Amino acid sequence: MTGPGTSWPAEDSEATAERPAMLQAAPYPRMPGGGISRRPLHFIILADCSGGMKGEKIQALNFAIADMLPHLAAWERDQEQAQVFIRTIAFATEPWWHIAEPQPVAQLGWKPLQPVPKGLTNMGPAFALAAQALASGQIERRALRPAMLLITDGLATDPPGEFEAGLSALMDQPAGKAALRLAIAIGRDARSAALDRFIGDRGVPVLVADSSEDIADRLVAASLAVSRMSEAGADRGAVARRLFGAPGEVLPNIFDQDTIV
Amino acid sequence: MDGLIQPGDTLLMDRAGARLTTEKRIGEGGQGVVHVARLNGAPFAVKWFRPGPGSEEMRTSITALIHRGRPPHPAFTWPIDLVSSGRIPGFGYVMPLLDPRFVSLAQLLNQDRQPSFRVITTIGRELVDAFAALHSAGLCYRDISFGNLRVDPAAGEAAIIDVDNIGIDSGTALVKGTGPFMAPELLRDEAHPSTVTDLHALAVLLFYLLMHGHPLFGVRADAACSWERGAHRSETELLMRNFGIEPVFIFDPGDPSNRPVPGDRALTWWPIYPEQCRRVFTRAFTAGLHDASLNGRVTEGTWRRVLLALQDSVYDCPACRADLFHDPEQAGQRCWNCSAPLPVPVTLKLAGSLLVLSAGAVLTSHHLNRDRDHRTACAVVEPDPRQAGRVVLRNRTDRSWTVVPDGEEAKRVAPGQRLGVRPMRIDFGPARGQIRAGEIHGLG
Repeated sequence: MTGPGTSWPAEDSEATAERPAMLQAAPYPRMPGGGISRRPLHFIILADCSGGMKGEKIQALNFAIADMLPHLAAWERDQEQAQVFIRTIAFATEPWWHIAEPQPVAQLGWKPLQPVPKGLTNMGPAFALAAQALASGQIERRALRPAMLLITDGLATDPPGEFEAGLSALMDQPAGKAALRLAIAIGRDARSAALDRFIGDRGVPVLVADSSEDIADRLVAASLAVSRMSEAGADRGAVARRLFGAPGEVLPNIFDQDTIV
Repeated sequence: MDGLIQPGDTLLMDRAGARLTTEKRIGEGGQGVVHVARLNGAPFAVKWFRPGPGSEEMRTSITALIHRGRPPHPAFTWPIDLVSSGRIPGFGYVMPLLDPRFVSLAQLLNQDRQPSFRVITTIGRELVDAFAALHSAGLCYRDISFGNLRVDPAAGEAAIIDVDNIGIDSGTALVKGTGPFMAPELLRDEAHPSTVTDLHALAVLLFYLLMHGHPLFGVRADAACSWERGAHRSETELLMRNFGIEPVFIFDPGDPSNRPVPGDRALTWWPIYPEQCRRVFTRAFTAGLHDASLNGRVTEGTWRRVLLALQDSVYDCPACRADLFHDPEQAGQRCWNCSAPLPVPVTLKLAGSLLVLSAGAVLTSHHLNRDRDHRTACAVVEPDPRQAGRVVLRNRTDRSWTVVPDGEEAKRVAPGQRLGVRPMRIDFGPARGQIRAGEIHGLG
């Protein structure tokens, strides 16, 4: 149950000597390493780098993602089942891979994104690129249900039909259709029907972030939702409340699917 | 405000009549919330339940646990008293606050640098002892899984949290368990959580602890997963199929159809362990999968013997210092790390145990008195300051030992004194033992 890029089999204790010795004061003996065999959980970030993101917005986005990753990494260290791998698609008029190879979340240092001057907000091609990455054969068959996070400040500016084409390419892949899809709108005016359509679940609202702090909070909430996705028996009610602030309301579609109580 | 207790609330203890003041929220789950609470300045934890179906049964069940008292093992964070609030309806219970030195088991096992075999086996034995105490008291846990355990590797201690699901085998259960730890008959909905299903979960937990993977997730289980169109199965279906209907052990000697997935960590760890240990896991995940009875499943007594034997057989490779187990059943053992042939280590044979005398080994009260006191050290093995590679045994008891080294006169080893390890007979007082020559350090 290993994911991509994991080293194997035994780690040299000398080679990892600079890692923080978290739990034991005594010298570590030479032991096999590598943690627990876990199933990969692919997390794809779709980040808006259109011209409108310039200035504070892109800074806030970069800060917020960098701030979110340690939360996900900390959660992942506590898992016996899921190992999180991050990829990032940046998009403006065209999409491109900002992080193409799945990176273990614990080892990922965030490389800041830059906006594309005069770049449009074409989401359809970004969805199509993600669809390719989630195609059968592109992710491990034992991979857990993936997660996708769309962060944008504006309305989609796709030419007619392209948003739908990209979205249907994504939905055409079982992993794309099954993915937990979340969206964060930067700026209160940014909510759009397009984001709701990307999420595809009326129980999961678009998260709106007005400030950089807000974005960080929303990303933490999103990562929490992602993290809870792979926990059989996870407390869906608590996740829903924390995510969406709806006391007592349990959102059946995203959380109840794969659970045994 | 969420209709639950908040920091600053005053709660009344049901039996003691004392008042607690709640502080910050430290946990939130489906059943309720957990807060720090202070009673006469001392910190405790309070779990407060969300009102809802089953909460009356929960109150009855927790009341029974309080009346019964904690099983004789310190690992359980047992309810002390029920609490109520004058401000909101509902109830909770107060329990000891878990020390922050305890971390999750997954966190421990996912570290780059793994704890030593002595630590791993000590934690395993602590968990086994705790569940043995519970089962011996006629209770079952019902949801043994990583989420409900914490460990302190430095102290070799375990803590078992979320004890409110504990009950008797036939009692009302609000939980069925956590998927990958659930016994096949539970997944198939043919049984209720019980001591017998606990024993399957315990075996899975120990397999994770020692082998770093799931005992039933091999190539066949992997092949059942798919993201191809028309072939995708939900996690529930996969759980049911791989762990419920057609479970096959990844090292099943009679059925190679579900061997570990290439790269699975268990492939590295499995051959490091002695035969005896692997035999017991094999029993747990072959006969034990299909015979859902106390006879079919491996009980704690067997696990305890396995883990004690493992703990006693730790030494290190003379060539590369890798942590190892001495396997008396295996001739021509080689180091898992550097492949060097391993010499037979020096051992101390006592009634019921064989202790490898390697630096760091501890002769406990249990070794001498069979009293299950694994914490009191009666002797410790230290490096011999006179000669690198050799060891001495320091007497940590308050009585002298009589030793008769081969070819020498009888001698006395006073409390605190060190004994150069060489072949001999030893009279510890409560027990007698024999140091047998190994091939290490020129003793063979």
